[in-house]
Amino acid sequence: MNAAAPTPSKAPSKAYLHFSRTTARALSVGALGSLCLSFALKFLLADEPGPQHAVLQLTVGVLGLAGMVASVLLFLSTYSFRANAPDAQIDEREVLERNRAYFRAYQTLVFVLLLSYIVTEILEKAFGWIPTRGIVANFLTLLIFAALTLPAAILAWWDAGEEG
Amino acid sequence: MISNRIQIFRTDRGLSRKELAALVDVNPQTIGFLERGGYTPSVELALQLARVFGVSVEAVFSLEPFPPLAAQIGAPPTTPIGDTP
Repeated sequence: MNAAAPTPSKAPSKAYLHFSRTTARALSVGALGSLCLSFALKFLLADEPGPQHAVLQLTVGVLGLAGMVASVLLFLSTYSFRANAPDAQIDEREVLERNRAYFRAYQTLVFVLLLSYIVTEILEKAFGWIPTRGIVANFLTLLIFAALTLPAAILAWWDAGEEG
Repeated sequence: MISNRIQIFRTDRGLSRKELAALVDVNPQTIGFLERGGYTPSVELALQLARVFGVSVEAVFSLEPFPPLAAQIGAPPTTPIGDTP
């Protein structure tokens, strides 16, 4: 039996960016790594302005911007399509993978939130340190971008790379 | 773990993974996962695959590993190279 050459009905539309598995993985590391590093370096900016303050400020800005751009690119990729597509647009294996990716992302975010809460409590009890409104805002921004990026990033790392 | 003969039936029918995927409405990658045993299909997908191949679902899927093809067709074991008298 020979079938006429059909086209897959489950392919994402051309509006999504078709990155290779390697590129998507690099973007995910770049996005989350840059944003985390930018968040961590902002703590140093709170100190008294010194001669290297401007360089540090520039580094934080560049890292933050690079992280956001990488997050947006990953969010516009086919991995993001697979991570966010409704059941009707992906097949049953992809539905299973999508659900697993979201569950893993949820676990990761809950872990980060819990760890942050514990660390903050310890720092407050031990040193009387309370995060400022700016630190909380930066942390929430980091979490929002992580929540947007993680499911697609997890799918990129799980991708076996087979084209069929 | 469910064993399957999807690859055997697919090649026998002259279908590529893309063609088979389109016939059962899944991503071609999913056919690759199925053939390698990396994914166990739903009952619906298993029945669709059996229908495409024109055989019963038991002919394509089994709870036990399928015996080697040579054993199934009753072929004698091949003589190792160098053992010929």
